[in-house]
Amino acid sequence: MAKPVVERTLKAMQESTKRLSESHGGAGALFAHYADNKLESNFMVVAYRDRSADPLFVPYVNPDDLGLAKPQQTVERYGSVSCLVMNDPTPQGQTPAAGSARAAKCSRSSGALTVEITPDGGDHSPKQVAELVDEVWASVS
Amino acid sequence: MRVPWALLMAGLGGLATAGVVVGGAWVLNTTGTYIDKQPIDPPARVGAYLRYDKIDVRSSGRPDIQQKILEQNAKSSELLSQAHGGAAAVVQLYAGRDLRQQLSVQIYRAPSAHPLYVPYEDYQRYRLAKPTQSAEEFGEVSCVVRNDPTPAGQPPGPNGTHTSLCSRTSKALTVEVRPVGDLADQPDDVAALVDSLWNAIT
Repeated sequence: MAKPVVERTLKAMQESTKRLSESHGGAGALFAHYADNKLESNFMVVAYRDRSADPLFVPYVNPDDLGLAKPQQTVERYGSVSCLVMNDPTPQGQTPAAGSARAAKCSRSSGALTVEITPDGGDHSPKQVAELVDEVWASVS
Repeated sequence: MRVPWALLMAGLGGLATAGVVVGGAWVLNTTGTYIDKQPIDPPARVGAYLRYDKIDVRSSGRPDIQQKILEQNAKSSELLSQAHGGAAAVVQLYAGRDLRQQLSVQIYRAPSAHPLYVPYEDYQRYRLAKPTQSAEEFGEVSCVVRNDPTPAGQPPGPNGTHTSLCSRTSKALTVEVRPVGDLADQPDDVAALVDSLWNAIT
C-alpha cells in the first residue's frame, strides 16, 4: 500500500479511537481497519472497555405483512456473538438462497468489554464474521 | 384531516408504537449487573407529536394498520429490553396529525454511548466543508447528523443537515429519537424533543 494511504488510514484509526473512547467515558478503546492482501475484503474492528446492547437490537417486523420469507433485518446468535444480518428479499413460501444473508455488524459484549466488527465490502457470512469477533475477543480480553 | 394510509404503512417497516412495560424494580442479573425494571410510561404527547395510539386514523381507510403497528412495537419493546439485560424498555412511534412527520422513539433504563460515536473522516482531503456524517451536541443531547456535500469554502445550505439519531443518556436511562420527515432537517428541534421526553420520564 502506498505510504500516504497508510498514513491516512493510521491517522483515521487514531482519531476514531479517540472519539470512541470519549463516547464511553474515557474507557480504553480501539478502532482498527483490517483488510486482506488484495484490499478486497475489509473489516472495521471496534473494541471498548464498556458494555453495550446484547443481543443487538432490531425492531420487530412481521415478514408476513411484507410478503417475505424473512424480515430484511434480523439478529442471529452465534455462541456469545450476536449479528445484525441483512437478508435479501425472498418471497414468502420460498427458501432463502445460499449467501442471501450478510452480516452488517457482529458484536460480543460483557459488562466490561465490547468487540464489534463491521464488514466493509466483500461477501461475509454472519458466521464468518462472528468467528472473527471471537478471535479479537480472545486477544483483547 | 384525511390520513394517507401509505404513511401508516411506513410504521410497518420498523418504526414504532405501543410501549410494553417490563417489570417492577431493580434486580441483579446473571452477569452481576443491576437491572432497572421500573416501568416506563411515555407521555401521550411530545411537542406537536402524538403517541401513535392517540392518533385518530379512522379516515385513513386502513385503521387495521395502526393496530398492527401497535402490536409490532410491543414486540420491539420486548426485544429492546432483552438487548439491555431485561431493563425496562419502550419502543414508541409519535407522529403529527397527518403522519407526515414521525418520531421513532426508544427508551430504556440503561446507559449508552455519549456523545454518540461517528468515525473520523478526512473531509478536507475531499475538499468538503464538513464530513458526510458528524456528531453534534445540543446541551445534554448528542445527535448524529448527515451533511449534504458542500465544497470547502462555501457555507452549507439551509436544510443541508439531516438528523439520523439524537440521544440523551445517564447511568440509568437512555432516550433515543430517530425522526422521519422534514423535522430531520432541524437537529436542534429533534434534540429539544429528546429533552421533553427525558423530562417526562425521569
